[in-house]
Amino acid sequence: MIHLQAFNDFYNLILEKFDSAALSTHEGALIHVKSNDPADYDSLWYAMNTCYKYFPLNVGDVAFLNDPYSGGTTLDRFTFVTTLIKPQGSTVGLRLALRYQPKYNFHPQPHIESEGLRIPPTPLVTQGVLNEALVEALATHPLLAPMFSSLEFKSWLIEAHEQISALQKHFSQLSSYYREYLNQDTVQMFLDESKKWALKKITEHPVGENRATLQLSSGEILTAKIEVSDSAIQLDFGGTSAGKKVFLTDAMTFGPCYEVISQHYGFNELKNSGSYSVLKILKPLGCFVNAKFPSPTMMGQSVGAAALQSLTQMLIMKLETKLKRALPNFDKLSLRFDFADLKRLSLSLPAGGFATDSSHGHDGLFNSHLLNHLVVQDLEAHYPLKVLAIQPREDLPEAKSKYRGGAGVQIKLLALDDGALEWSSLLYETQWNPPKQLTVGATAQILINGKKQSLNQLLFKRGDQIELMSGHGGCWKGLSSKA
Amino acid sequence: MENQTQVVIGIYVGKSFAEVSALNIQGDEVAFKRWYTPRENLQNGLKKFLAENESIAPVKVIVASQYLEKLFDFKLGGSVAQLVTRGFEKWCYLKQPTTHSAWKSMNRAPTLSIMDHWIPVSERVSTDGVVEREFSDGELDSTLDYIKAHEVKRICIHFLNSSKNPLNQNKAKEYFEKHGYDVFTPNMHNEEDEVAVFRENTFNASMTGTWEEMCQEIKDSFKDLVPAEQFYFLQGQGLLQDDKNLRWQTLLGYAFAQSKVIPGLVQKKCDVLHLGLEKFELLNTQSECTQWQTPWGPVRMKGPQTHRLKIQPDSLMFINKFGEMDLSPEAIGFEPGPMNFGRGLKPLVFDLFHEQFSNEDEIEGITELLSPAGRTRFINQLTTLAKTSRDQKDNEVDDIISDLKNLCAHQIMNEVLWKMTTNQLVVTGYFSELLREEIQEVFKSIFHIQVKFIDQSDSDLVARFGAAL
Repeated sequence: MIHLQAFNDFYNLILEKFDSAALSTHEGALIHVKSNDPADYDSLWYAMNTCYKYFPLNVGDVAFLNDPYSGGTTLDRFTFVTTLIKPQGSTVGLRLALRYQPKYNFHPQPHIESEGLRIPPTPLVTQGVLNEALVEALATHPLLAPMFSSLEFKSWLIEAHEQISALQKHFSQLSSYYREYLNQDTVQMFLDESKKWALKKITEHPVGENRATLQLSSGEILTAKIEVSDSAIQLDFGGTSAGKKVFLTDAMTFGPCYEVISQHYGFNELKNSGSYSVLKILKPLGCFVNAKFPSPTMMGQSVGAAALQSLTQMLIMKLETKLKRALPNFDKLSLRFDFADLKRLSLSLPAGGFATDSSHGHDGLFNSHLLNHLVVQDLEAHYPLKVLAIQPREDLPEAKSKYRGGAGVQIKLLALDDGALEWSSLLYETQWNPPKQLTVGATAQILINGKKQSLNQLLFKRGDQIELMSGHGGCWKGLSSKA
Repeated sequence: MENQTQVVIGIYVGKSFAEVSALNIQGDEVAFKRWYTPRENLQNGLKKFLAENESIAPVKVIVASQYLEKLFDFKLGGSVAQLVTRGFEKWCYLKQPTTHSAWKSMNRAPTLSIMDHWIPVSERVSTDGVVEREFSDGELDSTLDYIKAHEVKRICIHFLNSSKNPLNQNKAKEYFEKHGYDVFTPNMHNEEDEVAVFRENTFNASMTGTWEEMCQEIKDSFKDLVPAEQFYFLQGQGLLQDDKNLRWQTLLGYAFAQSKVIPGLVQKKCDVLHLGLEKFELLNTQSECTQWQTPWGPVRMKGPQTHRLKIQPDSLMFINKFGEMDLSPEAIGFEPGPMNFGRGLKPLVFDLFHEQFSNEDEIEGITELLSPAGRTRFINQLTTLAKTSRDQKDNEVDDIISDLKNLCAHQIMNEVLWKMTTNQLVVTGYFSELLREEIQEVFKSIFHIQVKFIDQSDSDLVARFGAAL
């Protein structure tokens, strides 16, 4: 009998070096997903299924897409789908989806087609041969120009192709050794055990139902009812409004909810069709968490996903009033600078961590990976900006709290050229009164020359001082568990 | 003396064990010793080695050490102050990674050094190298008062864009050196990740004391035998003699020796699976790393690409979420020691491979540590754990041990196969013989990779590297 944890570790290992990837069997059962972005959890699976619906991909073939309505998320993220191993006897076939974001491009628009070049499922490689005519046509497309030079895009696509080819070669060479991890019965057993484990964790918590609503600053109403039983958790988004600026596709909605649920109940290590099956989500067609083409998705990816996570967390807190921590701030501050010399810079900043009944929250902790690629010396060398300071926000969260939430990140900049700045943040109005022992973290802010700015596009001039501030984590005001 | 054999000495200092080898001019190992440093310190062990081998005449000493990694278990830099461009004194802290993937229990690693010792300085150099702001002497005077009051011994200077114009950096360095401080400045290239470079510099400053003590102990042990200029310390890019700004690089010193010596021994491009007594790692001899992942985030370090494997000799055994007996990625070190030493309280991978040995088996430096009472406790604990598992509850102890050894080999090989970059694998280190059977079993179904076992101690390899110079 195979060791199930070793099975799980094996699939973790395959995806380890990728930022965002998923594996499924040829029959479509999801085995594992790895991503920092919860919107990928279901959408990668959806992307695989969409590609195989149109193309019978063999080993050596690759299809790709970025269309949110085919399983993509935003148009700056490209998904490659391929077959690693074909099914044979009792051995399952293995499908792979890899998602790359070669350059972050925060570019919200009123229409999906204006947010960038939308690529539906398209065959890119056939029997190991890259479709160069297609690559050339894409690389010179004007809608890609703000992100890439033609040469950059081509070399990036070739690099991705090489990476996928190396994976396919690796699997073909080691197929006999890997056979025990590809056994049909073992895969099924793993999925069944994953479901059992998730249910076991759920039964350790109270059952019940509750409802919560929040309103986004852009006007959308997000409302949901949670029902927790011993056999499943159901989230019903009936009553949620249509989108105005914020839209998520059907496939983007599941992940943010699953992330909060699985972390709370303690089965977040598992991301497969077995563990997914314990969460049922109902979304009326046309509401902003089940948007239809041609709605744009850039704001949904940033603000919408944070709203879903916040609401799911509120619902759990209403069910479990004895939780010993404040509300996490799922919001990240997303923004884009457009300078007069046509240079464009997109950034995202993490929020502060939440306080508990025994400790302060950590500063800038929530989604702290967003700072990984921020290098001050590099930023100053390539953009007309001077960085004056990077620090935890100076306006600390409620000082009177027993334990304060972690501060957001504050970046003070001096503009060395004129330009425009666009930003998004989940500035929601909640109709939920949190328990009195905890608070919701303060939201993000942007100041220009000391003045607080609205969410509209901002213009700045050379010499202006710009302050970017991500949100704080929630504070704890109740009793301390410390002796 | 006339009858003495001239030898090159290789010393390998691990976190809890040390080894020394002597190679004669023909490249044969003529003497070897391994010992457990919590029981016998480095200097005593070396002196005993020399006393037991009077017929050797050392001409050169090569040292590789992973001892400094032991400091990772502690907060560093208590005696180190960091002068930082004002506005960026918490920048390194904000870029420290989280310690847990689940946000519910997410935390940040403890700060690399004491936050109060990050001192802002009002200085600024622009990206094109113009000094926009110079600090005043008065500002440095008050900083000096602060560091005196806090018994700071070493100072790091971390000024932005100092690679474009080091004027402010040099001025501050000169000031503190004049007041008797050891000052560390980063050797930064344009637009490099400043935080990774600052961390490298902080490590150098923090480790200097321990490093110098260790070097001195080794030099004292060979006093009057080997001249000072014949001591060499391996670092990530080659040999080190006395460059203090490269001390952090010594952590990759042993990997450097492996990457140079082992491909020569197999006469091919290869990957090296080092199953050392204290550490399991894979080394890609054909590729180089520029950063190393530490608990505090990436740190600049140049050397061969090394992958620390998830299963380690000091990994714990536990029951996983599926109710199976498993080997944990949590490694707890060798102090107080494995259960088989009669000291530890938790079963480790090490115990799994030593339960069959007795005091009559001769494993240099290990046999004398094995305790029958410890072995009994290990077996008892293993069977108790097995009874609570779903996969091993009905098995005999021999079957449990055999299954766990196989699991260990499979977990290691899965990771190795995934991270190899060539078709030749060389397996070396203390555990290579202990895991040989299981590894060979794995390769029965893999035909495109050649496997070779090289049974050489770590110190032998270090000596071999030095002898080739």
